Amino acid sequence: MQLDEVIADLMRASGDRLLRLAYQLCHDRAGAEDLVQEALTRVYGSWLRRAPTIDNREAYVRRAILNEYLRRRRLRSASELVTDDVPDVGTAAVDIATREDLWQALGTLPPRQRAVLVLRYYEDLPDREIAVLIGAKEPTVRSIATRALAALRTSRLVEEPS
Amino acid sequence: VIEDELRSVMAAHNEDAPTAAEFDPIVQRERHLSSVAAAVIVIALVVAGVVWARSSSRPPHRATAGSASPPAACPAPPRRADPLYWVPSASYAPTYALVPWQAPDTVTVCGYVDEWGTLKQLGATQLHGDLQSIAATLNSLPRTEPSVGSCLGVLRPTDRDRYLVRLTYGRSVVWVAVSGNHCAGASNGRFTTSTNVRAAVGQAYQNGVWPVDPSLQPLCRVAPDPHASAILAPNTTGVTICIEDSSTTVYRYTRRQLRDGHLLPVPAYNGYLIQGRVDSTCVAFDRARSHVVAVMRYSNRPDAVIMGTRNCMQGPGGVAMHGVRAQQVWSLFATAPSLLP
Repeated sequence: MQLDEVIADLMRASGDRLLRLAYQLCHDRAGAEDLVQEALTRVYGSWLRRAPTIDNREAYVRRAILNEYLRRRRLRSASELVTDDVPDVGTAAVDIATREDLWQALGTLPPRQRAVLVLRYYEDLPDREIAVLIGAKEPTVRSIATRALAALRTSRLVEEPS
Repeated sequence: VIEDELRSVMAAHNEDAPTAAEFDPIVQRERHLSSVAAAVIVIALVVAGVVWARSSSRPPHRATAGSASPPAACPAPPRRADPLYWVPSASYAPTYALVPWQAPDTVTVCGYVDEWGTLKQLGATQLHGDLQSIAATLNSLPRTEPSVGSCLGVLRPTDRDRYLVRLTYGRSVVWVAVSGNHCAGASNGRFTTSTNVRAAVGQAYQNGVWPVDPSLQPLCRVAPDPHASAILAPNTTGVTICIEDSSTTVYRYTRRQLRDGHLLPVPAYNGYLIQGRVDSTCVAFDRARSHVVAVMRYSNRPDAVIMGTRNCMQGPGGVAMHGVRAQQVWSLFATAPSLLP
């Protein structure tokens, strides 16, 4: 089977799942497509050199998506946030009045924190596997997750003064 | 508990994510190409272009086969901003297929090569040989399905090249745009196929004749069976039809039945008939191309199965109907009342 067909088959079978993972990371449709496209391009180059085994193709692309996401975020300014909605209040008073705003708050977390939460609560991966995926030790993953949840809880407290 | 809320919020946003059916990597690469990736690709294209120019594997202006370039046969090169499947005119383009079934008077392939991001005209080649066969091949290509995806965009030096195929029928002209991309398709401006015909069109441009490509053989053979007979004799007892709904990614079959005594007003060929009894339900077939499967029962001879698209209906023998006659049969089947509630 040609490599083009391998990837076409993979996208037919797993395309929706891969795009959803990318969307959970990016919170942006075009960004998610771009992320998957870029990951596929890198995977294509890699598989040209070494043919993929049948049972690890989707996992390989998932990891490429995650790597690409973290790589891009490293290239961005630390202060740059990708969001469709710009809050009209100060950052210290980010309004998280509804669950929907929890999604927005999630989008403001640093990339590694967001990635860990997505892998933990969307992908339901154990910390051990998350550590492998993001290239960190397991205690570090727990620490990142704790900090991320604390940040979200803080936002919640700001939002729920009563 | 915020962890539970996170799970809930993430799951709730699943539906907002793009789907694989919407994923159009060619467009995406044009629109979202990162600067780093773009630089890499530009360098790759430049290197490939230099290598190519030196190896002369791509003739700058071909006139060694076929006829010399006919004057004014080819339009100016498409601009970079033009759509992938830009055609000079779609006035005579059919909506049901890439080209009409009938044999064109002439077929000319115009070649355009990407040089530093600008398309330049290479030349034009008028094809010789069996023009009916070319038309049959292009006519039988399936319409693009939404589920087709995961094209990898620009990865090869020829991926930005383009071809325009000009088919003339009297004073009418049908244009077909063929992308040089290794995983793109072709379009006449009204009908688009995802089947990649780049290699065949490229060879036709080089050699002046349409190549023999097993993957692009027309669905139906061209030569008719001289021993034609009616597909539905007066003593036909029933017809079971399975309609394939290609508008969705999931193929569904609807069993339908023609009214009693309703005969198909078209002749057919002996090639339809198969030996022995057949299952009255749907039979396996090429899902990408066939839209209708009909099992016909007779009181005095074996059942027959025909299948095909709006443009071409065929039986297990291969030979079938084309054009208007196929459309008559297809329409009759497609509008037959459903047996299902």
